[in-house]
Amino acid sequence: MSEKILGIDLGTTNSLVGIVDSGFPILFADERGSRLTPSVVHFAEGSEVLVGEQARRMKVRSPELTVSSVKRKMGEGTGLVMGDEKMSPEKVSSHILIHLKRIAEEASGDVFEKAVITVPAYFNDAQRVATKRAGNLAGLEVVRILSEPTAAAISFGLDKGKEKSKVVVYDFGGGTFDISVLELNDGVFQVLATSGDTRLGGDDLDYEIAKSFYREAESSDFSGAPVDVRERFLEVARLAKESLSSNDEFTVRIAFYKGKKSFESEINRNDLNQIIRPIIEKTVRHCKTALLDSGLSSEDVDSIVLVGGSTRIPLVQEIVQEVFNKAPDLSQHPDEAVALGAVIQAGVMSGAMKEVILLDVTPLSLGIETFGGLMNVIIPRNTTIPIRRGEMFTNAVTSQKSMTIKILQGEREMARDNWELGEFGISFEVASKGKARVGIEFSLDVDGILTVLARDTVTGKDKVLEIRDSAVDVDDLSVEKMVNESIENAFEDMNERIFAEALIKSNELIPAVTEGLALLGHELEGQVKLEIEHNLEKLKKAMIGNSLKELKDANETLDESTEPLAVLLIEKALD
Amino acid sequence: MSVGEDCFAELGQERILSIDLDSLRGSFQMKAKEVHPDGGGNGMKFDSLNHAHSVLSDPYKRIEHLYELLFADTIDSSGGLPSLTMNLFGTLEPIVSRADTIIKQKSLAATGIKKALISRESIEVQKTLIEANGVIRKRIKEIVDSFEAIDEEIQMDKDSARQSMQIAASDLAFLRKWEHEVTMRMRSLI
Repeated sequence: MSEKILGIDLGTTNSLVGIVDSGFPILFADERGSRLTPSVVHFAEGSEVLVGEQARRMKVRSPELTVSSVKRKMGEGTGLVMGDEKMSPEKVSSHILIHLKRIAEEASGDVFEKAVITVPAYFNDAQRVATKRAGNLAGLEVVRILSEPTAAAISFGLDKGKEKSKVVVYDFGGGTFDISVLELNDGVFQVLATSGDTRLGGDDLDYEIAKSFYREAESSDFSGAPVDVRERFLEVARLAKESLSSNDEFTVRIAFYKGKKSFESEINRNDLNQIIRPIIEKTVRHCKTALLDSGLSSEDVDSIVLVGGSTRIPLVQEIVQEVFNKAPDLSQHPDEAVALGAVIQAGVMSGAMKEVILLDVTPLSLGIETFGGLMNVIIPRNTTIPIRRGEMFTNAVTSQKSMTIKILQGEREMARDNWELGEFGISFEVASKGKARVGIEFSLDVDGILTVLARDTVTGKDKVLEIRDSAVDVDDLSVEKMVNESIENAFEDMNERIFAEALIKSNELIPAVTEGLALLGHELEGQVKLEIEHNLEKLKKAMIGNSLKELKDANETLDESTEPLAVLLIEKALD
Repeated sequence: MSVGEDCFAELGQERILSIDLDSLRGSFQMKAKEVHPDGGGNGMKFDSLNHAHSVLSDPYKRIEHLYELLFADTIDSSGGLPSLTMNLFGTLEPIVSRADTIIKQKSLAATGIKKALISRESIEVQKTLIEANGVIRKRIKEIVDSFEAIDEEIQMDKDSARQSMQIAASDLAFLRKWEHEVTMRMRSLI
């Protein structure tokens, strides 16, 4: 019997786990009978840690001890404050993995030590490394980091036979968006191109919807609302979004969110579409980029497979159809396809299933900083992995002993606009200018993770260069309060620089709003227009006052109240 | 590229410029089945297959590689450009500098409303960039379409083929550079 390997979809909102059993991929259900485990961790009094549905229920009650959507923090090198404790995102994630491992072990009676874990295709090196580390912290050897859309393609394509076909996977989940273009050919899954945004998902939709409810209820800034109030609004926003995927109308009720104050309102699908359209439109450019990079045109594509919970939204399906000029394929379970793909890959790696060869790509270009702060690409995006590329470095002046190489990942021209993976020094033998040489080899493994080797050209010996710390010490991390992201409001630092910065913003806002109103003010709803004009006057007053808080608030309120005007301006520009 | 390496042989392809990309990919996939580490192959073999595929699927690298194989020499792609390609410069330069102006304005804008006000011009600039990209790609396609003729020339007259290859390589090098400039700006604007 072959050794069993878990397939895990570690999602932003929900996570799933499964194995291949008697040749079939299966997903395990928890004690409630659900295959979806909410990716929420609650740190209860004492040292008890709750994960899943139980933790999710605690979120409204004690948001300061509950973490959700931790996936969006992976690889950031920021710690989270949980009560008195500081914790890295991978540590929080490891609690979810421990929970999933337990579900699998209880359901199957086996013990598991290895796993395939999926990540968004667009995850960078640091995010992939952090995910691997989370697995290790949970006592799992991560035998493969698998891209989510690729996993979905496996589950879609496994029974499609030998026929060659071209498939687009549009994966719009709770926190991330990926698009991959693949060619399937007799057991080979070749990714031709991929694109995405690791900070674009259902969470962002919920936030926009909640913001619009809050504006209606309080006519003040949502980001400034107390955490528990925000949680209440976000929860109802999510319900409204989900309900309006199948119904035309939804009644919003938020009872006693502030003392005796309650909020009640009606929202229909058109209203919802108006709120979420700008966010969903953001996925369009990624579709176009990926298609362009793949060298295909939309007519070449045989199927557009939708996965991820957010693809249940009718507007998403409409927009996908517009972009590819073809009805999307809804055959895959939006929540389970990625997990099933992970399970299949785990089965392949353990020998429990027939051979599947994945030819995945690196989503982001990899390079080094060169003279003038530019990025010099060494491995371009969409290069098939695993891949090795060498580069020779020579001394620029006689007697130069070493040089520093900064490793970058990203698509921007300027080095500083890309992610910095790390830097290291290489040393030269003392020699005249241009004579000392050191070969550096960049190697991207099958998980999309980079290692760098320096090769001594004289001895031919390789040395692995450490480009990152293997263990991140939480105490060294910059620490961020996850639950309250608007720390800005907390300290009212009256120093002049901040005041001047706020003034710069005001000086941009006033003429811009005035111009916007002159152009399209007549097309706004009366109430909205009045509010903007009112906020404009308020800002003008705040500018001559000397309260930084008032000025910043006035900036924010005006900025936020002009959102409908901004949307209108962009709509007109698109016509 | 190491001496003596033959990417065509690696992928079982005929030594020609006018390769069919679809069948090239197909043979890459079938060979990957044999040599990919997941299929029981070794990393070194997959590396060289992967490398060969990346060379042959790029028209510039392909012409560079075939030139090396045929003439045991490195191609000189810095030669003069035919007027057909040169004329493009006059079209592309103003588009790119207008894009730079609007990218700067956009990056300075701190508020949503200011960004929205710029959006009309930004969208216009995006359109011109997309058009420019289309023009570049069309020209690249014309050159790639001429590969078949160069293949015939290689059979008939090696010296004249050598010249044609140099011209095509110069053209492609120039076009690649502009394609990069244009797409970088497209990415900054969308």
